[in-house]
Amino acid sequence: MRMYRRLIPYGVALGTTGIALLLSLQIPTLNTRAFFYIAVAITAWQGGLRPAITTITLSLLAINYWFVPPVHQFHISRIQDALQLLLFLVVSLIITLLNTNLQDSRKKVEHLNRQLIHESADRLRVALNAAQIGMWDWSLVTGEITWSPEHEQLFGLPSGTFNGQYETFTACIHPDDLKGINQAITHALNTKSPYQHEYRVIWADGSIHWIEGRGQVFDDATGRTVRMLGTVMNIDERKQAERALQELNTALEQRVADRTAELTDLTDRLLVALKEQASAEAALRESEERRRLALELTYIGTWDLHLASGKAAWDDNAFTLLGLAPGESPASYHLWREHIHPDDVEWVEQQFQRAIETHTDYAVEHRVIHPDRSTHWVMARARATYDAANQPVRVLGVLLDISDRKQTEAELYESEQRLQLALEGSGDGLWDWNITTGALYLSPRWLTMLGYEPGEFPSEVSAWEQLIHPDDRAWVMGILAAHLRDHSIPYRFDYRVRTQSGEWKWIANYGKVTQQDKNGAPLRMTGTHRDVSDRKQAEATLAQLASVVESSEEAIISKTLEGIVISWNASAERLFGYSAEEMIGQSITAIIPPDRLEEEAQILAQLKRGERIQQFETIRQRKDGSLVDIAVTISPVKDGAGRVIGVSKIAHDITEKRAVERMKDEFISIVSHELRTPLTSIRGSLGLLAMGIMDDDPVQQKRMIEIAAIDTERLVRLVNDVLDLEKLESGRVSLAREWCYVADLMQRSMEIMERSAEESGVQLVMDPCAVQIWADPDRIIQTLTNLLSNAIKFSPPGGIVSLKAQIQCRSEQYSSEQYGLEQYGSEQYGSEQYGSEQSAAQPQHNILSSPTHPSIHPPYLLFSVQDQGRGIPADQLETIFGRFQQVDTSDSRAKGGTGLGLTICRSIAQQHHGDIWVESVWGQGSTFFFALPLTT
Amino acid sequence: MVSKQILIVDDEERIREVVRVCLMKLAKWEVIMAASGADAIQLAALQQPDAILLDVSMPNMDGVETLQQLRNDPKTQAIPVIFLTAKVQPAEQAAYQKLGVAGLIIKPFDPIELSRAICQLLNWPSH
Repeated sequence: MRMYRRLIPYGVALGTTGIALLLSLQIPTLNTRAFFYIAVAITAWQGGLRPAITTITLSLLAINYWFVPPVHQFHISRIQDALQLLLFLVVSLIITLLNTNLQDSRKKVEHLNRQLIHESADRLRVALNAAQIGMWDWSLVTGEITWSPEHEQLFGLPSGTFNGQYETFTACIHPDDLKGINQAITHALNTKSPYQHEYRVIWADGSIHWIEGRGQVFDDATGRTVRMLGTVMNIDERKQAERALQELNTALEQRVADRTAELTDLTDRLLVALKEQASAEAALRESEERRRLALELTYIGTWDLHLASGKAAWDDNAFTLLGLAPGESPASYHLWREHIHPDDVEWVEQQFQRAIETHTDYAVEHRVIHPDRSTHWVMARARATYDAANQPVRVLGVLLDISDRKQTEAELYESEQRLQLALEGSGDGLWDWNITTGALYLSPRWLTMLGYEPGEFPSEVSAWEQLIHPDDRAWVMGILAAHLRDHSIPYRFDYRVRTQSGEWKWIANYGKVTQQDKNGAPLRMTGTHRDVSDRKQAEATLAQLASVVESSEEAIISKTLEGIVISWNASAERLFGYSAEEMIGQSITAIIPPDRLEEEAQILAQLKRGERIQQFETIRQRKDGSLVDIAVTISPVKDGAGRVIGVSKIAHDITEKRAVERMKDEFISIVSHELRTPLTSIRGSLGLLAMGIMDDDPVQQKRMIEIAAIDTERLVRLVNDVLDLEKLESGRVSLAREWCYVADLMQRSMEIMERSAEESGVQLVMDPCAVQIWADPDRIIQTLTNLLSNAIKFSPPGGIVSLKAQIQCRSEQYSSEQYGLEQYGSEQYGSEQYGSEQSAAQPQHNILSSPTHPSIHPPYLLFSVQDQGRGIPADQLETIFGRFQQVDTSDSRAKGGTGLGLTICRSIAQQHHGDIWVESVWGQGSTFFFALPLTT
Repeated sequence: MVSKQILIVDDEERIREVVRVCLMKLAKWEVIMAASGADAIQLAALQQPDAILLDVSMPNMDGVETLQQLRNDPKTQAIPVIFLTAKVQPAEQAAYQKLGVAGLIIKPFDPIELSRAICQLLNWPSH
C-alpha cells in the first residue's frame, strides 16, 4: 500500500508528460513547451522534487525527439535548439523548486497550526480547571454526553467515572430542581435559545451544591439540532451570600416588627435602616441584572505569561476585564501590574511569587483599576509550569469579574453593621442560644445591663433562669417552653431580673426561634433584653396618678387643643352627668352653655401663652340641661419639647358655695335694711328737731320726738331679738329648766297678751291641759306670747285666737290622769275659757284631731295657737320660720315685729327637743303647733 | 326759685313723714306721698311731680318694678327717679344704677343734706 502510494507521483509524472506531448502534437500552433511546463508544475505540486525531475527528463526527451529538427531523432543540429532545451530545463527546474518550497511551507504551516491548536486547548483546559468550570457536550444524535474532568468534579464524581448517560446526570440533581432543569433544557432545545439555569446537585457524600449551567444548541447544515454544548460552574458562595443577606433582612425586619410595638424612637431608627435596606436591595437587583448581562457578554479572561521574557499572551476577555480594548497595548506582566489597585498590588505580587515558589495554585481576589478610574473586583487563578530542572517556565491563568459578588458582600456587611448599630443605639442587650449545644451568647450590653462584666456571668440558660424573680420564673419558663413547642406563640414579655448587686430590674425580653431543623425542631433562638425599669416606674407612677385622678372629688378632665376630651374621671361623670364613654373623643362644647362658647377660645389663647387659669368661676351645662356653677383651674399640658399639646381642667361644683354666698348677701342686705330703716326715721326726726326749724310748731315737734321714740323702741327690739337668737343658736345660754305646770304657763301668756288683744279687738280663748313639763318656763311663755302676738296681729277685729294644749300619743289623746296632777285637777282648769265667753266663739275647723310632725314622736305635749287671719300661702309655711321672712314685712313692721320672732320660737322648740310648725288654709286662718316631748 | 313737687314713695309711714317735713321745711318743695308702688304710679301720672323719691324695699311691688312701670307709662317715663335704699352692698348699688335712675340716696340720710343731694343728682340749682 505504502509502495503503491510512493509510486503514484511517478505515475503522475509519466501521465502528465504524455498528455503534454499529445496536446503539443495536436495543437502545433501554440508554444509546444507550455504544456510540458504545466506537466512539470502539476507533478512538482503533487509529488515533489523527484517526480518533477522525472517529468523534466521525459519532457526534454520528448521535445528533442518530436519537435527539435531533425524530427524523430535525438540528435541536435543547431546550437539555438540546444539553448532552447537548456532554457526549458532551467525554467522547469525553477517551477519545480518553487512548487516544492511552497509545499514545504504549507506543511510547516499545518504543523504549526496543529501545535497552536494543541496549546490553545491545553490553555483552555487549565483555565477551566482553575476557574472550576466544567464543560459538557451532548450529542443529540447518539444521546451520548461528554463531561470534562472539572464537570465530574463539580458533580462530586471521581474523574472519568461519568458514563455519558443523561440519566446519570439527572440522578445527581436535587429532586426539587429536576423539573426546573428539564424545563429549561426543553425550552432551550425548542426555541434554540441559550440555556441558563441554577440548580442544586447532591454529591455522593450527601452534601448539596449550587451549580449554574449554561449551554448553547447547535444545528447541522439542514437546520436539525444535533448537539448542545455548555459549561457548569459552582455558585455556592454566591448563593450563600444571597441567603445570608436574605436571612439578615428577615432578621432585621423581624426586629423592626418587634420593636415597632415597643418604642417609637427605636422604631424610627430601624425604619430608616429598613428603608435604606430596601433601596440597597433595589440597587442590588439592578446590579444583579447588570451582572447577568456582563456574564453573557464578558466571560473568563485567560492569560499566559512567559516568565523568562516577561512576555504575555492575553485573550480578548483578559483585556476587557482590565478595561482595555483587545490588543490595545502589548500584553505583559507590567501592563497587568499597572492595572492592579495600588493598595492591592504589593500583596498580589507576593501571592503570585509565593504560588510559583511553592508550586501551588495562585488564587487571589483583588481590585483592578480601569483606565476610566473605575474600580472592579476580579478573581485571578493561575498555575505555573516547570521545566525538567523544576524551574518555572510559564504561568497560565484566568481572570473573572467578581465585582457584583463583592458588592453583595459589602451590602451584607453593611446590613450587619446597621443592625449592630441599631442594637447598640437602642441600648438593647443581645442573647443568642444554640439550643443543640446549649451554648448561650450574651452580648456585653446584656451583661452590663445587669451589672456584670463580660466573662463574669456563666453563659448558661440555667444561670439565667436563676436570675429571674421567683414570682416570674414559672410563667417565664412556661412561655419559653410554649414558644419552643409552637413558634407562633410570641416570646415577648416584661419580667424582673436580679442584677449583680441583688436589686430587681424590669426587663423587656423579646426573642424567637431563628433556626430549626427540617422537622421544625428549634435549633437556635435569639433575642434582646431591654431595661424598662424607668418605664415600669413611670407606669406605676401613672397608675398611682390615675387612681388619684379617678378617686378625686374634683372633676378632672383633659382635652386636646381642639377641645376633644381625652380623659374624664368619675367626679366629672357625677358633676356633668355624662359618662367617660360618652365624652371621651367628643367635643367639650357638650358641657358649655351656648352663651359661653366664646369663653373656650379666650381660655385657649391664654393657655397657648403658657398661662395657667386659677379658680375661674363659670357655668356649665349638665347632660340633663341644668346649669351648674363651677370653679375650674385650667393648665396647659406640654410635651417633652415644651409645646402646649392639650389642656387639663380641674373643676368643682360651687353651687352650694354660691348658695351660701347668696344667703350671706341676702342676710346682710336684710339686716342692713332692718337696722337702717328705723335709723332713718330716728336720724331724720332728730336732725330736724336739732335744726330748730319746728320750734314754732310744737305739734310737729312732738310728732318728731314720737317717731324717734317708736323707731328707737323698734331698734331695741331688733337688737334684743338678734342677740337672743344668737345666744339660743350658739348654745351659750343653757335653758333654766324646771317642772312647770302647763296650765300655769298658758295662763301667764294669756295675761301678757290680754291688753294687746283688747286693743286689736281680738278675743282670746284658752283650753289648758293639767300636766307638768320639764322646761324653761320663761322660754315657753316667750314662745306662746310670740305666737299669740302674731295671731292677734293678723286677726281681723272681732276675730278669735285660741290657745290649746293637749297630750298627743299615736294620734290618741292621753287622759290627763295619766300625767295627772291631782292638786291641779281638771276641775280647777277643766274646760275653763279664760277671759272669754264659751264655745260659740270657738274656731270651727278642728285641725287638732291628728296633728303630727315627722321630727317629733309621741307622746308629746302639743300647744296650738289658732287664728282667723288671712292665712299663709302654702309655699311660705316653712320659710316664715327663717330670719326676716315675714309674709308681709310692712304688716309685720307696722305691728312692731322684728322678723325674728318665729325664728326664735323655732330655736326655743329645738332647744327643748320639740318642734314648731304651722298649718294654714289661705283665707281661713292659721294654726301654729308647738310640741314638747313628755320626758321626765 | 320755682317750687318743685316731689313724690315720696315708701311703705314706712314714719320715713315718709320725716322726708316730707324735711323737704317742705328746708327746700320749701311741695311734697306728695304714696305708701306703695301701685299708688305711686297712679299719683305720678296724675300729679306729674318734678321728681320721685322711691324706696326700693317695699312689699308686693318693690322699687325696681315700680320704676319699670313708671318708665313704661308715657305719662311718667320722663320723670326723674331717685332710689331711696337701705341696701348698701356694692353689687346691689351697681345693679340699681344700671336701671337708669337719676341716683341713689342711702338710708339713713342726713336730713339737712337731703334736699341738696336731690338737687345735685337732678342738676337742679341749689337753694
